[in-house]
Amino acid sequence: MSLLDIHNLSVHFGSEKHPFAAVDGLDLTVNQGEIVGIVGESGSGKSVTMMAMMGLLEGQGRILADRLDFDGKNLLTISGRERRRIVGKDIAMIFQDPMTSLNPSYTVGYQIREVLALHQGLRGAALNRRALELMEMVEIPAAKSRLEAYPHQLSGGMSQRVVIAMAIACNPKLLIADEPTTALDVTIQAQIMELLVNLQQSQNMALIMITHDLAVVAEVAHRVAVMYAGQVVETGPVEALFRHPAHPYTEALLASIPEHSKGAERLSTLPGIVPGHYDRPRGCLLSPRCPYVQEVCRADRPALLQHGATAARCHFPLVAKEA
Amino acid sequence: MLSFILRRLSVQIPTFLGLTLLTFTLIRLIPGDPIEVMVGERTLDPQMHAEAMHRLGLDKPLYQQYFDYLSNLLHGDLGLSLVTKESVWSEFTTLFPATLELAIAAMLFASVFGLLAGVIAAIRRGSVFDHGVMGISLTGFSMPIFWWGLILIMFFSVQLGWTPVSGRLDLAYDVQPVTGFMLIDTWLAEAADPELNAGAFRDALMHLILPAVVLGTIPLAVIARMTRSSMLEVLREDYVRTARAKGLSPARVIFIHTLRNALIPVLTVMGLQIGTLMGGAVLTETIFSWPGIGKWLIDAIARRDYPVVQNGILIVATLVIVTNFVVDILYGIANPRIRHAK
Amino acid sequence: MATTNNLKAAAAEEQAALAFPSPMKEFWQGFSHNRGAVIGLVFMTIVVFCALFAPWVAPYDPIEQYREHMLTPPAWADGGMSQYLLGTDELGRDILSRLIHGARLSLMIGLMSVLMAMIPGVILGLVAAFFPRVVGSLIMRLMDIMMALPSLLLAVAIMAILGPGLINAMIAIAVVALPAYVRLTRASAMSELNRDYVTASRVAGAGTLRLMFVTVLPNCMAPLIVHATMSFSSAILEAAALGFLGLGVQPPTPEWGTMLASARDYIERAWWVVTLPGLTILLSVLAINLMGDGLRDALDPKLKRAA
Ligand SMILES: Nc1ncnc2c1ncn2[C@@H]1O[C@H](COP(=O)(O)OP(=O)(O)O)[C@@H](O)[C@H]1O
Ligand SMILES: [Mg+2]
Repeated sequence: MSLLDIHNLSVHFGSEKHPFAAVDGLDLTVNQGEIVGIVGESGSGKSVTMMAMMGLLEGQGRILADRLDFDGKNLLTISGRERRRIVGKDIAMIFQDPMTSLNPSYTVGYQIREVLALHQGLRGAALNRRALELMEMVEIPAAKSRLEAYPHQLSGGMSQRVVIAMAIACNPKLLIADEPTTALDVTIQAQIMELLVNLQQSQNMALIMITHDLAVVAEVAHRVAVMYAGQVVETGPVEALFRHPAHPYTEALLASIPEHSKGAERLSTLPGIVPGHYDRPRGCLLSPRCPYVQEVCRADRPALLQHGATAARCHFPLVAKEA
Repeated sequence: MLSFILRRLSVQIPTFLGLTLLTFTLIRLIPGDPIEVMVGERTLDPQMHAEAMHRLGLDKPLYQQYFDYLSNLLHGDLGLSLVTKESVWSEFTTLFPATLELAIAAMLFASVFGLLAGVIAAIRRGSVFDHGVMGISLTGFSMPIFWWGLILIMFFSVQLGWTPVSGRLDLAYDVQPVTGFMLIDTWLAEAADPELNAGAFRDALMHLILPAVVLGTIPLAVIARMTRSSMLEVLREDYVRTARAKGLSPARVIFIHTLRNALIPVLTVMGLQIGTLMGGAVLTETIFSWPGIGKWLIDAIARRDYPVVQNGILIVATLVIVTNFVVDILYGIANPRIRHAK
Repeated sequence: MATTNNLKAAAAEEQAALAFPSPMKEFWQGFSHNRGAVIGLVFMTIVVFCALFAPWVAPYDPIEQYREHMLTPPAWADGGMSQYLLGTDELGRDILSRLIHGARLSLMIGLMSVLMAMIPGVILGLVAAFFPRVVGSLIMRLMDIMMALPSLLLAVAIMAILGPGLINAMIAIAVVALPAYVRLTRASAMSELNRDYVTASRVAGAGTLRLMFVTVLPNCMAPLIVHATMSFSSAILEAAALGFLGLGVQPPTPEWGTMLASARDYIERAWWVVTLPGLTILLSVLAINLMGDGLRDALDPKLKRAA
């Protein structure tokens, strides 16, 4: 049984009369101790999916799903109180901008201790010891004095380490890192990424790594899901997907990585733009931009089906053609 | 922290000096001969006129007069009232507790209800409650409070007979002023002699309610609006999302992580309301015959009691500066980014 | 609701790409979007109409005393008379006529004191922004001092010096309103000064005066206009407060606040004498503030968020 099992998840925003789907029939599974990469252009619904799963949308969006199970519990039907016992403890999340993710009014130590006190009931000396230990685990130098620092006194990289410390505080089963390095200096990015992967191994967590950086995904992830306009258009083991993409969108994404595009005669970028919230095509979402588009693509939306090693939402998957 | 306070204090000193210059000039701007203005419109014989000018130092050059004024102030000499011949300072200190009691009650009323309404409105954004709070607060903000006072008196005192019409305490009670705060004094008096002073505290409280509501109306409106918009702003912050992602209870997210940060601009606005409050006290005290410094100043103007006008205004303005200064410091405590700023 | 509007806005935007709407039309779209603002505008239009044509609109002379009809209740109340729609005051004057004529005074005081505060305020603010070192900090210090005085108290103090009266009330209210204009102008001018278009204009050899009034000032107008509306409403409130304290416009002139000065004595006998002038003040000030909110929405979406 998967740790996280999402089937046909949709998240609608907007008014009742004019809803739009930020996430549209999304399927995703994550197994224990696995690293799953999620890639896709910004606005494709990566963050919204994770927020919906964690219950962070706070009535802003309407969530529908056939299945939304974590660790055998149905996240759709549990009460807010039960959810709060899971969120922050068994599922933790790291956000994109570390500089704004920490509360400016409280010390770093306070914000770490808060999680420990809440979920593990630690008090007094044990609490302090564990907070310090976490700071050391995320390799913050001068950890003891940094516990008393305010967020504005830390650099972006340091802040992100604190956020990570907070996230792993209760040994979560699943850690979600939503573009954890996008807001950081290039030199820091690799360090943070390495830290995350090391922690994933030492803590034996499952890790969902959301990123723009395909190279990172290729390097660290076991499986990948490619998102486009609120849907997973292709998913599968990382090697297979990188070597034989089934979906034209995945292909185009890969082609935009410098080393892949070398000598590639296919289009390195797709023409056109991602469809807007209210002008999604009736058929395949990529149909207006797809170089291989056919009549059926415009009329029918393809389901996510297995094609060779990966599953893709395409009427004419590339693997089949190449085979 | 100390250097932060000193830094802020040094900014206030020129403001205070400028203020003394202003009140010094104020009196000299009154058209007509100062001595005649002071003794009334009677004509004096030139001999006595010159003597009076000399006695008051008015024959010296202006800058000399200003320095005399400053040194008097530094020695705590704020002059005598022309009408009562009492020292301005002692008149002020007797009357100030009444205004302070009223202002505290008003601010308490405004803060408690303003914060509550603002927080709930923000959490239930777009609800009927939210629209109601916004509508009522805009009305409160537009309120001519002197009229509001009259309306409340008309309804609660005249129609319903619930509250007394004016003053701080019924004449039937004879309570010794210990602290000057009527609520405390009546409390003490009742404790000392429960028989004679039965009901004095309740009576003082009933006297206080309407004036406090009237004086607190505009601050209430301002605080409610400000709290709401500040809360909405902070609720959108990433760190609030982080707090929720930790699994914290909604109450903790609102009060510990949101309100704490949302309070910072609200606190500033509350500080600025102190000035509005002192201005409002002039009107409120006039309507309710509340024996405080607002009424004192208006009466002094009506009686052309210039030393009281001059230095009374100086004291009140200084008070406002001091409160704003304290707010500034509190602001620094609430907001570590400011405290650590160079 | 919000998204339908967004949708409409998006649709409008699409059309806009083809034909740019005139700034006036765009402004009106933003303004009329705010229902409160439109209600405020309608109410104020009526008030302005009454003020302009007071002698023709008002049924009676505002200071004429009909002694035989003293303290007549409004027409709809017990004992009311149909010829005195809102009743009469303690001297038998028609309250409706006094309110209509009072609109003239209140609007005039508001308008004049806004102008008298805004013009010097803007000039001082620009000077403070352009010469921030000595002159600027001097001006700002002075404004700090004026801000330290509670506005009503400062107005009262000025009235104590100048003596009561209409013109003096305008001056006092204008002086009180001045610092806010200076601060606002300076702040927006300072932020504009760093923009490229100012540098460009400077490089092109524009003189300081030209930079101040032609280059920078027009770009500071949105917040100034919004503030002017708000200070217009507070001017009306302050004028009424001064009148109430007996320091403003003197009786028998029918000023709204002055009408309330003696009203306290009639609390027990004649609610209309107490209620109606104050209600008029409240509604007018509320209407102007509602319009101010609408203006803010219409003139600059950035301001809305800043507030
Ligand atoms: N609270 C919200 N209200 C309305 N629309 C939202 C909200 N949050 C996200 N969206 C929309 O949902 C879409 C997906 O956003 P997001 O998940 O943040 O994309 P990304 O893949 O870059 O993380 C975007 O088009 C965004 O505009
Ligand atoms: Mg995102």
